[in-house]
Amino acid sequence: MNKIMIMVFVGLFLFGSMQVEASLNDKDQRLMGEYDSLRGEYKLVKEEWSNAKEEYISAKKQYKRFDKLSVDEQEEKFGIAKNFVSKTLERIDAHINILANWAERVIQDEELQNEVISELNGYLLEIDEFQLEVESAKDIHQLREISKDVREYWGSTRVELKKYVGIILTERTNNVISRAERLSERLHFKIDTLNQDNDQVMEMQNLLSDFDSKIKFAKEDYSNAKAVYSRMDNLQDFDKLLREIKDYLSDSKKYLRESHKSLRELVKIYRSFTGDFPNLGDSE
Amino acid sequence: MIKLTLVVFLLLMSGCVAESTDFVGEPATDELKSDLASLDNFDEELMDLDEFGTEEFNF
Repeated sequence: MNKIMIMVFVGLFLFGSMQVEASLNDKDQRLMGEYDSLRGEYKLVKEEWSNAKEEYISAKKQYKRFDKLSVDEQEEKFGIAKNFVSKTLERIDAHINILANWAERVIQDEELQNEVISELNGYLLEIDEFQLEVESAKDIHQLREISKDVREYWGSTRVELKKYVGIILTERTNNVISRAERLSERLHFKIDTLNQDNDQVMEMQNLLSDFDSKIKFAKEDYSNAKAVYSRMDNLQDFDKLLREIKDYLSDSKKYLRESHKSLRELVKIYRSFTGDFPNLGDSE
Repeated sequence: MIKLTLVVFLLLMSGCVAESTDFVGEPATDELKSDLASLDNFDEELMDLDEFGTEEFNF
């Protein structure tokens, strides 16, 4: 009995997944595939970075002055330090690749998308150059110089990247708003064709009006968040401005959640009134 | 022990039931709900920037 129940649940889960999968277009599917692969890669790189860091910290505890070590010991510790710098660069690279994938997936405005991806690619090129320098470092003195540059570079880059995080977060929220707007359009069309004197239809019209006003509020917060990321020019303000963006998006999400409650009630009434779901999918 | 397991199971089930009431069976409506849920932890995924620095580069 238990096995049958498990099979039923697994079957329902797989069926649900297939339905969502089928609704994705080719580009989305390609990007989703790339994203899964990037996430897997990032997880692996993060683990390798963590191990390299641990190894480096442990090696560092074993000596006070590098130049007092024997030649063999110097060679060993140099290799450990070099690996740590290299893994750090790999981790930065993997993180930026994920941001670029999200930018391609969520930014609908082609000009903004190209701008963001091009800037992120610029960072990736710089990281490649650092990686080549690390690989060609012959001794600890050269590695120290390169590491100093990497440290300075990452110090400012990780702040600069917050602007792109802000854009991606904001535009992804906008995609949900656009989806809600498309549903609203279809619902207006369907409900307007029903008998408007009926109580249930009147209730549906009220819920639809509530749905629309919540989407409007969510959109206002989205516009405010967008205005904030548009003025992210000064690095010193980035943390503060990203917090502002998140606050606006949190309000936007709150309205979207409320809008979904109205939508859910509306769909239930529609089903009870017509005997069927309104069928609001893209094929309609 | 069995009682404790049962209580935990019931609590988990009640959570699942509460969550499932958010879905009505109309695909586009439920997709909007899934989209909304996916926004919740999205910032954490993108913000893995401050966790690691390069301060240890002190050879």
